[in-house]
Amino acid sequence: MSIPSQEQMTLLTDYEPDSAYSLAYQKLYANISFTWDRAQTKQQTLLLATPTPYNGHAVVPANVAIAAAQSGIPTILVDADLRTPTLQQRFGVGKNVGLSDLLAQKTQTTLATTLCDTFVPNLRLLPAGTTPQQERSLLLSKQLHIVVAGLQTFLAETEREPSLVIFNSAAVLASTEAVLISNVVQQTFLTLISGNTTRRQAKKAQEQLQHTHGTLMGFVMLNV
Amino acid sequence: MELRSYWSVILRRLWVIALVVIVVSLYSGYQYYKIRKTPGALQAYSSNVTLLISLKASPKFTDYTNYVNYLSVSESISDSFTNGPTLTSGRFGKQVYDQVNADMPQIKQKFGANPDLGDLANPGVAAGAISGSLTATRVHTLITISASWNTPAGAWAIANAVGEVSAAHISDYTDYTVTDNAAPATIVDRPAAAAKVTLGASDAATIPGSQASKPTLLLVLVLVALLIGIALAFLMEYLDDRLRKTDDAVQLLQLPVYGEVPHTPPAGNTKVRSTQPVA
Repeated sequence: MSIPSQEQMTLLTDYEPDSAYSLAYQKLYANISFTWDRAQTKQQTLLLATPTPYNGHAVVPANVAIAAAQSGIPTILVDADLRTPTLQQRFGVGKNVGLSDLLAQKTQTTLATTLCDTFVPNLRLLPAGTTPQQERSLLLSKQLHIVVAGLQTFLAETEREPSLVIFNSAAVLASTEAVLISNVVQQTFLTLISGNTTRRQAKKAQEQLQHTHGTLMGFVMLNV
Repeated sequence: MELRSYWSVILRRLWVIALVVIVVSLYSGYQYYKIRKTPGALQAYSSNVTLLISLKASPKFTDYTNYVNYLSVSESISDSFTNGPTLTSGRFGKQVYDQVNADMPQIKQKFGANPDLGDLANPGVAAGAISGSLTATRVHTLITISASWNTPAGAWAIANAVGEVSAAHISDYTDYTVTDNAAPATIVDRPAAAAKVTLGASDAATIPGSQASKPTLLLVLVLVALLIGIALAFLMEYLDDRLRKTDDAVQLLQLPVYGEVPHTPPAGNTKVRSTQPVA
């Protein structure tokens, strides 16, 4: 699992808090959080996904999670990109059990043992896990809603404050994973990359998410 | 599309415009270099010689009462010499070339020991080039022949030689016939055509060369390339399906935009990150 060194440098914590890059993510997180009905739901779940594979797509959910954690919201970042998991390396977390192990319902694997603390206060990471790759997608379709419910219960029990679960997934048009996750989370946001995402891809991804009853809230534009 | 959008398209596709303009500029530059290196292409020299055409007097023809006939024949000869194929013929060109060589002492006296005669120094092409360099105009029996050449000495030498060759050999190139009343008619003897140089070869004057307008055309070509490059840039933009502006995505998806994130700043703007968990 090799990641270009430049990509490892793009986490929000690598930049000054008042830089344009940091402010853009803070604003993005604020805009997303304005849509929450905190009285109704204390544990928000959301997915950020690109229409097609893009080098460094995991940076967006990771940075939104950092922005949320930095604003005091207990946040769990879930690396549900089971094909090319990158977040555990980005956050300097060793290869641990994670989401795929929870999905496989391996004995002695509990949510508490799979969550990893990160160098960002209030932010924990649920890595992709160690289950062989070919089994992961199948497990995702069968067990994901249980894991998401478990995450919400876990946050409700451990945190008094409203909390957040952010999913990073493979591209919408590249696999079924994003669509499956979109079905179980409360909000889905499409990440479009200026000068990279075509109109056709954006429209197709939107249709795919909407056809499967995912709650597509809006989109984020990268590289503007 | 507003003006700023047009400008951003041009900036985004600047490489296409630059590529087209550079390729065409290189071609134009090479062509201009070739023209500059070709003697007489941008600037040439012209020298004129004027001849008077008449009929030669002879003791056999003493009836000069009808001068009108003499003048009429002279004009006919002048016309055929001016507008006929004589001046552009290879034979005439060869004769002029030989005459130029014969005149070399006179040319050296006028232009120095090593006169620059241009293409006249190349025997393989000189005779043909001489034929192509001559033009003539006439007023009655006065013919002015202009020789255009890539050097002043060459133009003068050719004009001078044309005068000499015409004066000596005009009856070899133009003639007329008079027949008797017998049946069948036979050609009777008649006064031969004659030419006299009335104004010798003039000093060469500068005239535009054969490709004098080409530099302007090459400049226009570069401007056209610029326009083609811009058109190509807009065509590429039209065919490019990629989303570039947030407004385009809003219009396409009919969804709200939650954030716009700029390009990842260069690594120099970053601070060192700790990777140690806090808890």
